[in-house]
Amino acid sequence: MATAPTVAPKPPSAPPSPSADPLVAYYQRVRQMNLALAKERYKQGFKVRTQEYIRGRGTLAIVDEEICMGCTHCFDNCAFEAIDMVDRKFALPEYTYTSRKAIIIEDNCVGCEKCAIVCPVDAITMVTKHGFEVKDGRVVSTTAPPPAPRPAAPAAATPRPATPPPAARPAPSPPTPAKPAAPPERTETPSPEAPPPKPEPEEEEAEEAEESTEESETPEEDEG
Amino acid sequence: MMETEYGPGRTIPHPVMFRVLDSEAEDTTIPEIRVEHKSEFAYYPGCIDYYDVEMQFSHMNYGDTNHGIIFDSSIKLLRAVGIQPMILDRSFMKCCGHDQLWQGKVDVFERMRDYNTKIIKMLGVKTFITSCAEGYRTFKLDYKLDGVRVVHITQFLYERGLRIPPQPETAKKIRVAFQDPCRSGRQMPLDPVYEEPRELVKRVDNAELVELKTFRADAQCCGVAQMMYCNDKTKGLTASRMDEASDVGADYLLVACPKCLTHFGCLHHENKWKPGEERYAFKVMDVTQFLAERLPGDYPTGSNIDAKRKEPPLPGRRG
Amino acid sequence: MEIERVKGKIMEGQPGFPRQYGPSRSDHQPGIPFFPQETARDFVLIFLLTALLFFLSAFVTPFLGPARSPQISELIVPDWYLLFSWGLLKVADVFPQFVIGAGTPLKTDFNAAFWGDLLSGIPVIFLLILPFIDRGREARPAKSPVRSAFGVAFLLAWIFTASLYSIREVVAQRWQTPNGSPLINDTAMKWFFVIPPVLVGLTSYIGLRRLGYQPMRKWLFPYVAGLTAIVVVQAAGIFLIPGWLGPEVRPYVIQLGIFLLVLIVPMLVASVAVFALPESQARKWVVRSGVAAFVVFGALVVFFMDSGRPNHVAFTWVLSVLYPNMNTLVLMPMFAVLTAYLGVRRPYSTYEYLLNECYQCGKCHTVCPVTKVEDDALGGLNLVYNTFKKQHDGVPLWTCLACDACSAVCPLDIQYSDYILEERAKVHARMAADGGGKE
Repeated sequence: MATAPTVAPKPPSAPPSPSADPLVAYYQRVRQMNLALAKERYKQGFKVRTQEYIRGRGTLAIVDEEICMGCTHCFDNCAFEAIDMVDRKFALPEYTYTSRKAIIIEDNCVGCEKCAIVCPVDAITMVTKHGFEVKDGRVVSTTAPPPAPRPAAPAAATPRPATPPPAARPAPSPPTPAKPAAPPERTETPSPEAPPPKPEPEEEEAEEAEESTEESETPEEDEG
Repeated sequence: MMETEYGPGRTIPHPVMFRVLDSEAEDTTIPEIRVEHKSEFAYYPGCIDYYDVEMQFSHMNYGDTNHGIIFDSSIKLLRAVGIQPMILDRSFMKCCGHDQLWQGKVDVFERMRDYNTKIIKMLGVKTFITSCAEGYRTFKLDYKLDGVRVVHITQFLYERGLRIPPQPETAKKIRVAFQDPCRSGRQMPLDPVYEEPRELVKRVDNAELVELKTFRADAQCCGVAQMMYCNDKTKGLTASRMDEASDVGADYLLVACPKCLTHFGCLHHENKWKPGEERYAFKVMDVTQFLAERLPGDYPTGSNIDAKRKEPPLPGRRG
Repeated sequence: MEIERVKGKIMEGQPGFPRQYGPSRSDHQPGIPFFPQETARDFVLIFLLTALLFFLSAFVTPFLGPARSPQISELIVPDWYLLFSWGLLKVADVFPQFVIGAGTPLKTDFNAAFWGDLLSGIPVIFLLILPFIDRGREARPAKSPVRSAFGVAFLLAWIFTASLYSIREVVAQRWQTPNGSPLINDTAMKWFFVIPPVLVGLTSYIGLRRLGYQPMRKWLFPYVAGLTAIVVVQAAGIFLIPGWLGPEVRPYVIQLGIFLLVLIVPMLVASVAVFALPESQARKWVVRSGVAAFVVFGALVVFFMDSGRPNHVAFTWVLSVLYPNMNTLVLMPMFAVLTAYLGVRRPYSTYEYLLNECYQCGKCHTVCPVTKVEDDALGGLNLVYNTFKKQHDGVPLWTCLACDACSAVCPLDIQYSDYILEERAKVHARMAADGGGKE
């Protein structure tokens, strides 16, 4: 009350526990419990969310310009400075406004999927880079089987000294499982010369196709 | 623009939050409820904590968007008018189902409604106080709470005669604008919340109430009702609404709906990110927070701001 | 002070401003109220008409001819539109007959004639008092399932069965068993007054509720399964309980079994489909089994009728079992399958009726916030009308903010947000009915 314009909520937040009044204690407890509950429940939902995207060395985030609304969530969350915001102007008869759009700086993107997770409107999806593909839910290289040559990804390999993590990180294409898989893959790759990056596995498409046939079928059923 | 006809699977933003809220309807077994402080006045905070957690991804929660303060302020204000409300907290209540209803998930809504109705009846609530415009509409119209009076908190404070003590002489004159939520205004023609927040704001003696270009029943929507659609178009609406507040030279833009607060705060945050473009030099806050700050004393509840963090972080990393 | 200045802009209290929202809105009926205004005008017309009839009957006497009597013609029936009344008079002797207040001036004789008069008055009385008991907002049958179901059951089905009963002699004479007794006995005909109307009413109710996008499984399963159980129990009784099947019919048990099987199998299929399958699948199976049963039944009838005397006789004996139990054995399978279909079919928009009221004044466009920012909706189209016409107006289903600015200014009280609620629920229900959908 002393100074009106001070907005900062007063610091009583620091010690939440001590209070003589049982009612105040009740309010404090409920408040903290509510918040903890929200965080706990949210974590469950968030866990599911992290399963939705592929990630790893061979992946790249792309932004759907149509959907992006420039909230800067991804910008704030990117740890590799791989996202920038550009302005887009909307000119309407009554007024104009600018909305920002996120763009991915591909050189910096390491495919960590963090931006895709935090995007509130699902505008960001993860795709495979050129030379990689999704196989059995993992990102594997379609080109040479990488037995030892680690320098293939110099930009992303920042944690240089720790050798175990890089070995574990590109688990999709570790030396041993990739080797037997490599020869048949070589024979396959020539036919789909430049495989367009498919963000979704075929599941979705199959479902959609099924749905559309269902749609076309039922009306005639209704008439009959 | 035919692609805007697509179904809800794609367009509902905040997928994690709605997954969490929808999943509440799955288990409707009534838990054992022990409320420490029973009262016929019940306060229902709504989903504000969930908004907070959702917003934490962008660090906006540490900035000027803080929904949890609505809870704190509401309790403070209710105690100031001599009410010690029982809190219908989220460990046994569920989401009111407003968003699910308006997103078309009627089955989810109905499950939530039946559950919540049962609990409210069980606890013997006589006056149901909510600080959320959508909750007000939903509990009042879409629920069948016979015998329970559903009020918006500003209505309740007004009828209980909230007194704001005189502000110090040194306090600066401020101009305050109020955004009428659609849900508690136009959609509640029998019992609209138009006059009460304005009257309460007028009791702050250094505040001058200014009206936006459209107000009361004509008030333009904040742009993102029911969290249904979140894109450039709706952002344009939010921007136009905030431009109106700029035009009337408001120092505070008050809202009575957490969702308006979310989206005004989002745009506010985005514009602060670019230091050269300080279009919106006013503060956006809930009307309860505005009033509670003018009252002496502390918040009786804790606050949800991370105790470790004293200063809001700078938005963005690039200096 | 600024509030005072613009108070004229505020619309509460003005006519046309909605007071209640949601599908069950009951207040503020647009139009002229029935009771003082409409009734006054109607009474004037009624009295004029009555006066005209009195005048004509007094001065222009029509030639009536001699009254009909059993001596002249064997079968006495009134004109076709009064058959129901005749049937009701005939059935009136099922009611108890007694006399109240015998020996006093207030003596009332509750005889068959009294009951018949009362029964034939009921439909007319019902029509007469309908505007007074039904004060709801909706006048369209599709939007008031209870009233419509009553109407269909009593004003149509009941009157039809009553008319049928009035010619019971013809029926008894026309369809006979080989040994000369009537196929449909009088008791079965009397039950026609109860069972078909009830079935018709329930079926209409379920179908109309489904039309309004209600999930009807909770109603459907008990209904269909209950009918199935009745028919199955009765069929079992026919075969298992010795006294039920007459000695004449005994030789034709196999043919009877075939016919009963054709009647029961679609019911069982419908019950299982309604209970277990998702909606689109259930709809398909119900339709398939129903059509198949219909075709097979027709084929069986044709086969038995056209293939010589022994088969023909067998068919007649089968009918002599089926027909007296027509209320259950024949009607219930039909209604079970029909209801199962109506209760799971894909409904169409009931909001077409509501949105039809729009006369395109365009007020909603001037206030709609979304049309201000959608690029292709800046031209000044009409929100409600074009949405109804499925013409894109910048505010399709998922872009609408449901802020209700349009409803607040609509002079005809069209609740656009109700429409949005229903349509979104419909999309979601469709996704759920087809097994999950995208989410």
